[in-house]
Amino acid sequence: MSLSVSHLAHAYARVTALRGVSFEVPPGEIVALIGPNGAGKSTLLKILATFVAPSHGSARVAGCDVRTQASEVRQHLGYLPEQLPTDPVLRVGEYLELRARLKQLDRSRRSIEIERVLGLCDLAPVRDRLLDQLSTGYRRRVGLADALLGSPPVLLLDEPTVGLDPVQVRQTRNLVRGLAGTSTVLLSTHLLNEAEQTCSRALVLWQGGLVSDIRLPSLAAGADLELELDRPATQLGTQLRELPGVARVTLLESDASPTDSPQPTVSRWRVTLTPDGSSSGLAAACVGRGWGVRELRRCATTLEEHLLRVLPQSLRETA
Amino acid sequence: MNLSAIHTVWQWELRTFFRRPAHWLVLAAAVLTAACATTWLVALVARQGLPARLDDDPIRQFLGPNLFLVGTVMWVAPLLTMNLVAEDRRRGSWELLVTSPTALADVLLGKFLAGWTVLATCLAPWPVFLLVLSLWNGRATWLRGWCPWPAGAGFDIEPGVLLGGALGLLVFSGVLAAWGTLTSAWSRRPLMAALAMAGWLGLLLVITLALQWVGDGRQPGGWIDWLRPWGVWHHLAEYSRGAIPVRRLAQQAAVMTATLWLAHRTCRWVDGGPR
Repeated sequence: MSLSVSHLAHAYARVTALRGVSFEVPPGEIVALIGPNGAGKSTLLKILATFVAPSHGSARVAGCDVRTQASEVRQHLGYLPEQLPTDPVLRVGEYLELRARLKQLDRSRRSIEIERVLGLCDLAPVRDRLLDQLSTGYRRRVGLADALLGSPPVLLLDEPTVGLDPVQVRQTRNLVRGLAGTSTVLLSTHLLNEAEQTCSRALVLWQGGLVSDIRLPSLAAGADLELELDRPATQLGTQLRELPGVARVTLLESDASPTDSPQPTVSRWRVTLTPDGSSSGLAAACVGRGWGVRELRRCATTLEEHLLRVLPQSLRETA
Repeated sequence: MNLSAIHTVWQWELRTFFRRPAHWLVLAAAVLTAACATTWLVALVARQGLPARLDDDPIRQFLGPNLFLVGTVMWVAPLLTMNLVAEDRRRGSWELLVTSPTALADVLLGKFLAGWTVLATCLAPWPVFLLVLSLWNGRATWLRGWCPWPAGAGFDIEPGVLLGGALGLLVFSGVLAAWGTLTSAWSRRPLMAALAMAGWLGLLLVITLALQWVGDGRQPGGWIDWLRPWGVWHHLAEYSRGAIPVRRLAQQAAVMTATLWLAHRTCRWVDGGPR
């Protein structure tokens, strides 16, 4: 595994930032780390980058322990922290040269690598500009170029597209997507569409705990079912929930038609199945109870819907 | 220990330092203060009509530069070392620096050496002042009735004593650089680091003066004699006489090492990083 996190916990002076987080990321996978502010995303990245030592639990990057093999971890890591590189006197090219030297790249390889990341991040036009004179977007790209120096096998990116214009956002997403298969990327973001477009998997953190670990393609393919029954919604919800293989039921629409209408009253539901449930089993169970099944189809779930579902009630109401 | 990484950090720090106009101002002020001290001492010698010999008190003060160090270093050293770590923390570049494949100890060593180099540059104009002294004893005459000209021979300066004093000062500036690294590692704000360093130097000065005051009039030996060397300003008096005991150099090297070790621990404590 490229990243292996086990029961990781961290507490600052008065705040618990992480509570027993565990997950694994195989090589070459791009994983989004999402969650509201203060969920613990940046703390998790800081621990994996060996900047902060965990209070409890363990974490391994490329097989090396972040606590006892910090320098080995850093040799496998490219890190884009939340705070951007600034320097009043260094130019972009000089900065990347110094970073390449700190990353102990060979002298012969250094200039090739710098040219490569300058090209990848579209920084060639500003290579002679002072870092402090760059816009936030350009500085973010300098940070990203720095993280990519030396083609590290593991990349930790903390909000890589914040402050970028739409064209730069698209370029950066393409760049990160292009890393799939060669580098393992853990990308912290608030932008759910960014996670959907860039990553194959999402880890949802809330109040320091991991509340969901979901594969995004399966989410898009539709793990949920949309069921339309020729019955009014009254009391049907409870009965639906009791059917075998049903995990969760949400009423989408209760259509009470006029009494003189020949159209029967219908209700539409979204049904989440348990791992052993199936759509055919659900249909058979409904028919067996004498309910007319008007429609049963798979429906795609957006990450936002998923997030609102897995986050606690209080946060959902706020959202 | 990775020498290449230490060299990179040292070079990076110096490049940043010497490209900032504010730092040139501090350096210029330090040199100016030293020049003023020189002028004042030479004028003092001239006015008192003292014989121009090395062991005269004012000359000793000048060569040992007590005046320069106590007066100037008290504010120059904190200002020149306050940015070493605290500025990186303030700018957010510290996190990136210590998560690169370079050990924290190497980063701190590179920064400490840069601070030492910068403090040593304050000593660089010293040969110029000494050259002036070797040519001029502080007394002047009027050449052709209108042009001021040095009267008589210059001071008799012994190179060995001067070299000894210079070496002592160099080691002492290393101790100052280490203390600067420690106070800068402790803080997230450069100004706080400078105040902490100035406070520490002031405290040491008070201790030195107190020990001197308590020790005056006592017979040699006893606990005062044991304590006195720990008031580091006292070392300057030795350097001013060109005397640098090996024991004193070892003592200062030990202080430097211990301070840098403490700076390493302090960084970990402030950042919360792996021990």
